[in-house]
Amino acid sequence: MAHKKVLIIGGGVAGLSAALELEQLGIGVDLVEKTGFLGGHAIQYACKATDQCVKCGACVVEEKLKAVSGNPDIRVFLNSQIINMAKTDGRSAITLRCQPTYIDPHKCTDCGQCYIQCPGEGAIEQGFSSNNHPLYALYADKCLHFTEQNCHICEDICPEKAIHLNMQSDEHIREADAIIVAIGFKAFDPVDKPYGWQVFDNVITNLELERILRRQSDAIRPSDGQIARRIAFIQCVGSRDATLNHLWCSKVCCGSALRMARVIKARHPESDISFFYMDVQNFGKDFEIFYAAVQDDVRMVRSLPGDIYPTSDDCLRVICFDQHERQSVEQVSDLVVLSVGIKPGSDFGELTDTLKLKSELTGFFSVSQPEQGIFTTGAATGPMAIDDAIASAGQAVWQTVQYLKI
Amino acid sequence: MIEKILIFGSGPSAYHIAENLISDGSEIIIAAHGSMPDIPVALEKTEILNNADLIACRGAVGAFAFTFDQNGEMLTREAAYAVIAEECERHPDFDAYSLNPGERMITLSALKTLLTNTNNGNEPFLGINTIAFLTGLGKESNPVILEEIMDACLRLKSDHHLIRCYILTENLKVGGLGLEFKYRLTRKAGVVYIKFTHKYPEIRTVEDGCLITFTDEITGNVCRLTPDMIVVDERLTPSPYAKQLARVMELETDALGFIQADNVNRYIVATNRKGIVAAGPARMFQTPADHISDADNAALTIKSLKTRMKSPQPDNSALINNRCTQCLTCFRVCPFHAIQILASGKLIVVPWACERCGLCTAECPEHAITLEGCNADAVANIIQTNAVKNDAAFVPYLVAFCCERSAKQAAETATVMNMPLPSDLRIITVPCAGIIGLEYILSAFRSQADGVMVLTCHPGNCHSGRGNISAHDTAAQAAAFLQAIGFQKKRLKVRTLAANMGHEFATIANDFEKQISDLGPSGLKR
Repeated sequence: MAHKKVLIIGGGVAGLSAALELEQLGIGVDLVEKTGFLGGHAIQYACKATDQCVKCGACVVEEKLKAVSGNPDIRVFLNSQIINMAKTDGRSAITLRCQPTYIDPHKCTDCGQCYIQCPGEGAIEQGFSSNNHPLYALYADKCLHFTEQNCHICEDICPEKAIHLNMQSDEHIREADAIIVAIGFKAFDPVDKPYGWQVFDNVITNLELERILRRQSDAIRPSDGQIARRIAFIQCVGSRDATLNHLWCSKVCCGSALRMARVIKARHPESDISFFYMDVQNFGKDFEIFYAAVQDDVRMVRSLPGDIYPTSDDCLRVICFDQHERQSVEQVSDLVVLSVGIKPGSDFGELTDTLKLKSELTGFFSVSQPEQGIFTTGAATGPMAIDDAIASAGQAVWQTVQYLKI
Repeated sequence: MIEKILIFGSGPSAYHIAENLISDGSEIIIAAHGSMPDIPVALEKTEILNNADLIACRGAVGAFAFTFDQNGEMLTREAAYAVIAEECERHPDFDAYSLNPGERMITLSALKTLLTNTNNGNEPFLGINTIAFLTGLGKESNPVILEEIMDACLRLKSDHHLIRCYILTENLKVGGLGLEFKYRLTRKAGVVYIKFTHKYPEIRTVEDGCLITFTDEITGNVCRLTPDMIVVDERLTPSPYAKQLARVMELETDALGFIQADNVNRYIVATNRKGIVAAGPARMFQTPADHISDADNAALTIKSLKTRMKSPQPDNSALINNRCTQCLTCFRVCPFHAIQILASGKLIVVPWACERCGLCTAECPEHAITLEGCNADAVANIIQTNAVKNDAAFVPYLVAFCCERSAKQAAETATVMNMPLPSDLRIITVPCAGIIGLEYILSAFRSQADGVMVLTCHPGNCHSGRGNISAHDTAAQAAAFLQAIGFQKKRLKVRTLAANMGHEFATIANDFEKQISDLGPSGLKR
């Protein structure tokens, strides 16, 4: 078997899974990730186990990331994007533009001094997993060295001299026999919805709550750092919405929200949690059992709120039409969580042009185009949960293997 | 060397898998419980066993032997790998709605048959103006069924456009690829959806048909519907034969009886027996698109296993030494069926099938099984050597036994994120909590530990299925023992964690340090 090589675009759960499956078959892998961290959205998710595992799959992403990080046969390009593809004799030459990472992974010990002492807000970010190495990434657009040309605190204080602010961007041409596109999704931006996101501190998205739970275990209110007792989850924000032409169910938000609701309730039984929804979607093999149990823990309100107002004591009034009572009702919450929809990935447009891919009416990629040796997978092809993304990656790898006749 | 792959099943799922494996150059055997319908596969290399009823399964990955009862004759086939691809069974939900089946009160499957038969000059929908579909009322349905109902409605609307379709449901299951879009299409085609939350419709059979009475949840008006035909949805369950296969092969099943435990470590098609995969409707009800995805994953999993088995076999699996008295404890407890009985009666561990959980070493009454890197004496030694003699002030010496897959990862996260942790915490990593026998815990106390933590995966999240439960049982025994000898059992703590719970790890460890500080030095400390 001649040594074959596959380039994977996107280092989220689908990209990581595909990389590992290919590596198992002895196929060389280049894994191209546009941010400074592997793991995508899913690495930011919290474990939602109550007294038992609820099969959200977040820990599986952790395991995959660990396997990829320590793997010498998977070459990872962080901060990198595809800018061109040329095809000759069935092989593709892909041009990558790699932005500097500024942190030398061979020297960095993940001590975090740069992160702690950086004066620029958001210039150095911390990853979510100990399997991200370096655990920190430096973003030039927020770094005072680049914006004001004067700061080099991190470079000076790094005990290992691992930071080099003069690092330059780079272009690489990588050859590949096939390409797997796993660019994932983009979360819907709820700023235009009447829910006051980014207006009220305590209105957050489900993805933000996942991150808070992961880092801090509890549903901490952004405004005062207190544990929220009364929490409202609002579903279908940007999903199943004809006015936005979002004619898809994002599929994962019911599972994410209800599992988070249950773990919060399990840790703080006095919590008062409401769930505003249209239709509850299935998730997991034991959905029926879970759904029966969660209805004891959570107030299920079949209505989507119309408005949210602040109260004088830093809480939020959620107003909706109660179908059961057939009147407008209001409820006061400490924290409102918007389950934002899944949209096609942000590089979607550019990649469609560079790789000449087809997309569906919905804006997601249509399933693979084997004649070109390009295979799409994961949430780039439509909303999916972690297990679906892993299955989708397996399918893309099988198709790749068949295309390569291995 | 056996290279064949045995496929259980005779439906579309088995067909997709056969096609994949044949295209990959594998030799396959298809074992159909009934008879295999004609399938358009290049079958020259394929042996098809009809009416094959599995009664025994021996061996391990690379060398299984499956014994069938075929019309009273015993038949054995050897195969390196097996794929279970049995189809689901369908159960109409007439009982759930207190209805009796009849010519105008039919199942979804029956409707689908009527729809496919209309082209042959039959007119099964003559005199039918209104059809009501009942789905997921009182019992949750799923996207597989909703898609079938929507497809049926679209077909009815295109072939018999005067028929009015009503879909009565609680939660509309549009959580699948393209289903919301299809839902909009059906609405555009004139299908009416009525959703219920608090009170379900009342359905009565009357003289000339059916009467459905309900209160519309939006307007509050009482409505009546008199459909000429009622279509009742179906529940999808594993077939009794799939359940038999699970029993014979000793495979884990989920709460509904599908093959494959509801455990994230079994993603996507793995079972607890390496070399046996469960794909398609054998592991859960699925859409036709999912069947194909599963068939691809099954083929990939087997290809990957084949590739791996060409390399030298792992040398770090459990080993049975000559202290073995052939009591079969290990054979019984191994979650992966990695222990085989040779013709001589001798027991061996099949290295390819061993997942290094260590349950056998913890359970073996003769201590006849060893696992590289896991040894209670060596652990005790590490704990003893690292005990710091500190005369100045009492700093609790804490030992945490951490599962490599979960708690160890959480500990690493807590450390690398600079979360405060107890100053004298010794982490002992184990491949699975199942290896933690009584001697681990007791020798930790003998070796100067002031407090011992056993940190395992959450129930339902153990890679070995029950290594965590076994560790909890062991810890409970240890606690009872400690209490019996007058030792404070509070010095032993058992908690569950996942790999991504760095913050929780820090909280648990710090709380424990405080608790042990309050208790003071252990009485067993020399």
